[in-house]
Amino acid sequence: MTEGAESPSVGGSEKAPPLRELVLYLARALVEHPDEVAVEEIEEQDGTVFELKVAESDLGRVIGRQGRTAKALRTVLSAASAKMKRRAILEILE
Amino acid sequence: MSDRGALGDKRELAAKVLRDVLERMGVDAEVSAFDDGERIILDAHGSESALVIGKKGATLDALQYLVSRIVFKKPGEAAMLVVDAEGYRGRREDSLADLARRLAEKAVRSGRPVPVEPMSAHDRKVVHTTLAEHPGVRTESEGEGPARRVVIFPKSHPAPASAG
Repeated sequence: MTEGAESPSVGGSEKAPPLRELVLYLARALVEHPDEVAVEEIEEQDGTVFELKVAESDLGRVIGRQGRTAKALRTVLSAASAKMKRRAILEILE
Repeated sequence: MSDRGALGDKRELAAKVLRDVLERMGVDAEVSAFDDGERIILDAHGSESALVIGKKGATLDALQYLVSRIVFKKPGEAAMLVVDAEGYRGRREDSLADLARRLAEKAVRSGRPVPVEPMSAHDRKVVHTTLAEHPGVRTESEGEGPARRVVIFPKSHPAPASAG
């Protein structure tokens, strides 16, 4: 079949959503008290720091056993930030 | 015990969560969702699948873990969700299986244990399963955390005392 369906190389989509939205979405989806999730974005020289705050009883849900959930969050955040060529650091406030 | 209707609901929810996450990562991808009655498989496809996969599938593994945590609340259920991108996992399993067979031949030829590089639990399982029926070798995992690896022992090699 010749449908010529190659997607044109889409460049310059400047409308990437802010990474803060990614952190907020994942954290709210993981916890039991989404209303108590807050993310503060701090610009630093070598990158952007996202400070994540959740209800005390939800800390385990964003950190996970042996920090596995926190690690997965950081991996996804780095993948997204690599596109923007800017380092993103996730800090979970305890 | 999973009833089909409930799994279908989870499948749609899982697909939605993955789409939402990819969108917020700024990734242009479509998500197809399947289930075979036991497992849900989500496949992301589009021009940016390399970004979704990451180094040795690290980003895929992270997405799979997070979507599982979000969709399944009970720990036992989590094994039922697979996140893939353009069939990457299948291709990686094939190449891991090839590697396992080559290293098994090396173990048999040399008569010595051959360690495989450290890898994820999923990848180690592929190596164990590939060699489970191999007549000349047996496999064991050694080490802790990120250093955990499979070691391929020739059957001629004495078994450790702990073997049961």
